[in-house]
Amino acid sequence: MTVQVHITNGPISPAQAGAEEAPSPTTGTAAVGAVLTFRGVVRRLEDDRLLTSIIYETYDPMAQLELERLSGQAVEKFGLLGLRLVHSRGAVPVGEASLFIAIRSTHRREGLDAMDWLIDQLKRDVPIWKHPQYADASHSPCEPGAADA
Amino acid sequence: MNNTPTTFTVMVLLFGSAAAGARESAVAVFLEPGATGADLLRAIGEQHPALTNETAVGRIAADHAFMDPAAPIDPEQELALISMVSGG
Repeated sequence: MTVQVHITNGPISPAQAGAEEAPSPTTGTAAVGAVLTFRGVVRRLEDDRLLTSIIYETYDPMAQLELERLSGQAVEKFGLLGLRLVHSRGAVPVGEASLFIAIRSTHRREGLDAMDWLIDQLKRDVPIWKHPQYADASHSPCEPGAADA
Repeated sequence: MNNTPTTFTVMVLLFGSAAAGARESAVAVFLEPGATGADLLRAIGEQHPALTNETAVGRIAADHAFMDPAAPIDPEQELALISMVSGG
């Protein structure tokens, strides 16, 4: 069982998201029956206003510690076999990914439940704040409680 | 001669809407000896009115972990006001 958590500068690249392919029986993870991935991207519209990007402000290292804590809790609570999470800091343009989560579980049910739980907890506890940058050149200081991805 | 300190000062880091509202990245807060996390939250709002709304929904973090509101403040720890977050 592995838990990997990383905060990266800027958008999450496909390479950082990595390949979450189903393991072969020879890798020692034959119990994995479900591999779930979530990729949260910056929407073009926020409150009917066009965005160019979102700037993610993070309180490091508490953000890292909280993401690790919640990820560990998710593994224990839902009996997961593996979890990997990447979150952005800094500017992420529209259409690019700012959150990536990969979960491995025996059955789909616990994986789906864990994904939903983890994102809800992340949005409540992790010290990260969004600063939307609008196309009309204005910006909000931050947007707490932004709509779910 | 009574040398018991009457107050002490802590610095509290600010982020997000709290930093925007206060136009500061940190504020100084005066506390009574024995003050708790809850006392600090209240004192922030009282001594920095621009942060009153933030303290209503915020939590105190000490050394990068959310603090028990009933626990005493350790001025040696890094303190932060974690206002409503918006990651994910």
